[in-house]
Amino acid sequence: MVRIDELLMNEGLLMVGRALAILIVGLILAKILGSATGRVSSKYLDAQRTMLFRRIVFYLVLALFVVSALNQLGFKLSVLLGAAGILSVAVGFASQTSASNIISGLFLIGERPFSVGDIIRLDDTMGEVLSIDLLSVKLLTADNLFIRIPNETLIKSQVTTVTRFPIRRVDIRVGVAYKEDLSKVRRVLFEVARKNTLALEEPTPDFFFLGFGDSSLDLQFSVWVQKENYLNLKSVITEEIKNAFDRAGIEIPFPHRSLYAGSATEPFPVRIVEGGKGTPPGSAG
Amino acid sequence: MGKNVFKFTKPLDPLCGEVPICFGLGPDQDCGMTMSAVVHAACWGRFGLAEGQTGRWTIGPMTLWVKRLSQEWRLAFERVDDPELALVETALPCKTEEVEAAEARLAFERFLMRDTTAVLHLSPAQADRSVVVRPSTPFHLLPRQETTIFVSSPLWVKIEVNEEKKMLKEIPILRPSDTWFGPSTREGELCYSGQTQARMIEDEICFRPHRAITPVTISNEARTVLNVEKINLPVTYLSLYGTAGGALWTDSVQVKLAETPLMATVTIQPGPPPQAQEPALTFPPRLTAGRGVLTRAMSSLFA
Repeated sequence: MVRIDELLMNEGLLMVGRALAILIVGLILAKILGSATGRVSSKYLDAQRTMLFRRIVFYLVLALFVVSALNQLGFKLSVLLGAAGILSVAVGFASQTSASNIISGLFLIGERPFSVGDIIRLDDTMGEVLSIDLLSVKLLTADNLFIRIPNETLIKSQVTTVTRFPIRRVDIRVGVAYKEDLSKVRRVLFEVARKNTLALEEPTPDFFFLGFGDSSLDLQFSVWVQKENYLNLKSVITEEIKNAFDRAGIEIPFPHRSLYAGSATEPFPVRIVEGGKGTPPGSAG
Repeated sequence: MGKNVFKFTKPLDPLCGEVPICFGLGPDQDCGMTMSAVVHAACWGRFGLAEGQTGRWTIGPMTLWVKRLSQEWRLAFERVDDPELALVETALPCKTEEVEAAEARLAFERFLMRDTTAVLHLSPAQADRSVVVRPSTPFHLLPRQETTIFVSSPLWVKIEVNEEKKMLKEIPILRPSDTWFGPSTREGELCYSGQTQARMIEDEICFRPHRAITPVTISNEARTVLNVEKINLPVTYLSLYGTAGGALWTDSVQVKLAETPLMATVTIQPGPPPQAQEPALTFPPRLTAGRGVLTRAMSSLFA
């Protein structure tokens, strides 16, 4: 009897040992295959997809070995799958949001509207994409804040990828006084763009007349720039435009108010005060 | 080039055997050398700077200051707003008061190393992107015709130290404007822009110390008239050749517009062009183009 018990125990230990060995081999193999996939795919794909492929290969290989190890321990695969099915329904109900985010994440990775390193804008938030994960996208804003946006939000909303194309347009709105000659204003603005080496010569800058404003002729001057130089040009060119307008004697007006008493009323009484010694208007008799 | 008049003085720095002649400007003094022979000696080559000395080089619109200390090199540069200025002037070493004034006016960049040696190399280099050259008057090339035009492109200055030529910095002598060259704002290539007279007669070429001349032969083998408003010049693949006459030339470029399909073949003829035979100096290109042939769609060369 003792010998049979020992035999069974030894056999049990052997099974556990085998299962453990399978798991360890599986883990090592999954790591090797995962990094090999990463190395190969990094030659052809971007960082985001490389990471995704590496993880898929790693978890797939590991899952196969885990199943094999369980099988070694005497668990039946069909029972396990059935249990997993019931479990997944329960987990699915409990974690609808997470599941939705995961699905959205997969779509984001597949559709690739932006990649790591791009600058995106979502409503009022703008930042550089640090990572695209299964549940969320992490952004770094210009003021060094870390923002986590759930993938579901990104799928549902309008996202602008600011750095998608190599060149961008800087739009500068400027108002000039009604008395100014617009052809002269146009000439001065184009000269400013020509002299700035960051402003692209082609596509040529655009000059738009936006309308007759309350106190100024409203204009838009648009200059193309390499995306990396966008902020730099935007700050420099506004200063250059102001200086060029000052040199050319072009007035940038601020809001004017005309006070009019109307034809039905008497004109405003005007009193000339000499040397600032007059009586204040309220005390006039 | 009428602005260049040089005064010839003796080398001031005895450290380096190959120290070029030192120059100072004297508007009415004749140095007894031809101006163009002086240009290379003054701008490009190997110079010697003793510890604590500062050198000043004016190449076209840019003035470069290089100071040598025991364990560091210091660099500064400034430009004047005159792209056509063809001035070449070297002060080696520079006067103390001039250096003090420059140090007060400019921010010197520091490059640290264990020990500095007296050797300093200044060499011209092509731009780090293609240059889109726009003839000041666009022209049409008739079918089955060939022409050679001379176009100029802006140059960079490479500052290297020690015998093994350790690079300190590369500076554009005149920073050209950026431009985009491509069929749309989504596809294309970021280039520098430049304007050229696109002269066809060699004697009319205007040489400036900060620009290199490329002979571009365009042959139109198609049956339609070729309208040339701008040319994308692949300067990163072109070597530079300095003639004894002082001019800087590049490899010549041949552009052939084929009949069908509408493709252009760009061939870079390695070696100095006929105008620059037996060059005094040769500077290698930034990139090598394999067999010297680039085939591009027509839209990526002309517009």
